[in-house]
Amino acid sequence: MKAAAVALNTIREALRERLMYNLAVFALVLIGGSLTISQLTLGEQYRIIADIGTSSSQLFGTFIAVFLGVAMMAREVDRRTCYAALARPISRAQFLVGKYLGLAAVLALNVAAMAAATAAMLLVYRGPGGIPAGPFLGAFSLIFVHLCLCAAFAFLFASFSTPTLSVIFTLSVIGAGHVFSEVRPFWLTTPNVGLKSLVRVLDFTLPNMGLVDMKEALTYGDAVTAGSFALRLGYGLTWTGLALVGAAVIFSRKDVR
Amino acid sequence: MSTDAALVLRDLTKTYRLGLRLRLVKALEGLDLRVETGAIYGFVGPNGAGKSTTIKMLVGLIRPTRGQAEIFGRSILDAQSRASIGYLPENPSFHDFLRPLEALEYLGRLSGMSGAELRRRSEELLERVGLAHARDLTVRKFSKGMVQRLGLAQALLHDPPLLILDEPMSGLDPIGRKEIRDLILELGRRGKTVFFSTHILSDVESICDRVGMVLHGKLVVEGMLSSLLDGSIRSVELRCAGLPDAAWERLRAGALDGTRGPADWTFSYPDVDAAGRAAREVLSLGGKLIALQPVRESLEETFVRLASSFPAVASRGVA
Repeated sequence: MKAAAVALNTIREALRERLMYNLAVFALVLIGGSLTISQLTLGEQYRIIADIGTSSSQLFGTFIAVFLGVAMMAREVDRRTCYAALARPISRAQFLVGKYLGLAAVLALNVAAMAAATAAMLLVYRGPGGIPAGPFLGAFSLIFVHLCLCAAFAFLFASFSTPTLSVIFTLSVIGAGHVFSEVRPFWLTTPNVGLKSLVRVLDFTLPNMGLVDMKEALTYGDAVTAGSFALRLGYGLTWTGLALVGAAVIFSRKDVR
Repeated sequence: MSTDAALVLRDLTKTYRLGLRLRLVKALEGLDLRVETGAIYGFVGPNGAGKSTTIKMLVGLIRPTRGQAEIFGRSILDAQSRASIGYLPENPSFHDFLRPLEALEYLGRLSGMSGAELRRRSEELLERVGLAHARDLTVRKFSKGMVQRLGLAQALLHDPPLLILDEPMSGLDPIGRKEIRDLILELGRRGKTVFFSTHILSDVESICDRVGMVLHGKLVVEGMLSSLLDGSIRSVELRCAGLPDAAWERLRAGALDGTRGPADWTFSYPDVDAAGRAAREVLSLGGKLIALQPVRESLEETFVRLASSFPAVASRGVA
């Protein structure tokens, strides 16, 4: 109930963020323009539209999640708006989870808008029945989980660091997670024993962002199995939960002054 | 610890590590304090003395480094202890996109309130703090005084038995200050406990039962206001008018000080006898005696006297 009140207030706050609209509009314009851009290719128009749609949603959604996540946590303390709230019978963890749920709801709204725009472009190109429902839902569901993971890391870093450093740290972790997912298969096949050991360490210390990603299934029309989707969903949500627990523990011990 | 007390603080200490060299700064050191239920308690001290640090520990914003505190018998480390307090932060701040009712309803839900009761109470408090006319404005458009009033409304929202007010008169005009003073007195009459910090001592003199003075992070004196004030007469002030210029030197002779105003003269005499002799002389010379009153030590003077008598404390701020 209390976390829900914080979440509701956070939704109101986020919906007044100009930065979010700027990024979302830019993504929607790019998705809208994918139809025109796709005409520059021969026979690959569907892939281009799907690729631009999903990639724009993920990229701009990530920026929204990170910038809003950091700003919302930092602002509560910097502007002292949390004083009157935290001086009430609500735990810091409840407060943080409330803020997070509010942000997650706004991210869901963003993903829904971008998914609708992508679907509209694919419908225009292919007509009704032209969208593979499974891969489409799978891809955008995991984009949402990806954004939730980004927001959780933004909350984690913002719970102990300055806003600028928090943005840098979060984008670095997410970026490193993507790079890691690309190089991991190569490092595992290399004869270098050190790299193999490093992979084992990174498997537990860095989120493998490639696992929270099904964009290619939509782009290339790959089949999406329920097992694969559930595994990726579980992986993303586990990392999200861990980052949030870390943020809650740190924020609970933080002096708000 | 007794539950008769609204607040009990034992050895409450807060140290910070600041800067790149992690310099240790003692913001509060070994504070022992007890505030009885129903008291209006003034927590005074200059800026940076440790008043806000103490209050922030009580309301759960910062954690004590050492010691403990209880609110109505419940540890401040337990979030439920905050169910019985209403907190007005120094320079309160709200999400600036909210209207006052929205802000109150948001904070009321965090206190466990809901539905029609929350709505009714929010409306009632808006009226009470004089913000009913601003109900359609967002907080962004509020003046500092209006934000302070909203801060007070949110502190009273859930009708808590203990009010913890950090510089409640800050940013208010004289009328607003009087309203807050009256409100605190009314809360006291209704049996509420009020613990408030200020560095403006006249506020304390007019409303408090007990006072604690904190200096450089240490409580230097605590007790009933009447016991802290030195009740002895320090001088006697005489105001008179309608006298010839020649009388000035005669009246000034026995006085500590004399001031010529546009309509009257004011003299300060060292004791009642000297003032009495001067008053008789004024009347014998055909003048008008406007006022004759003893001057006692003010809380401000008491504070300065006590502060200067604790020189050792001043050097303990930074360890």
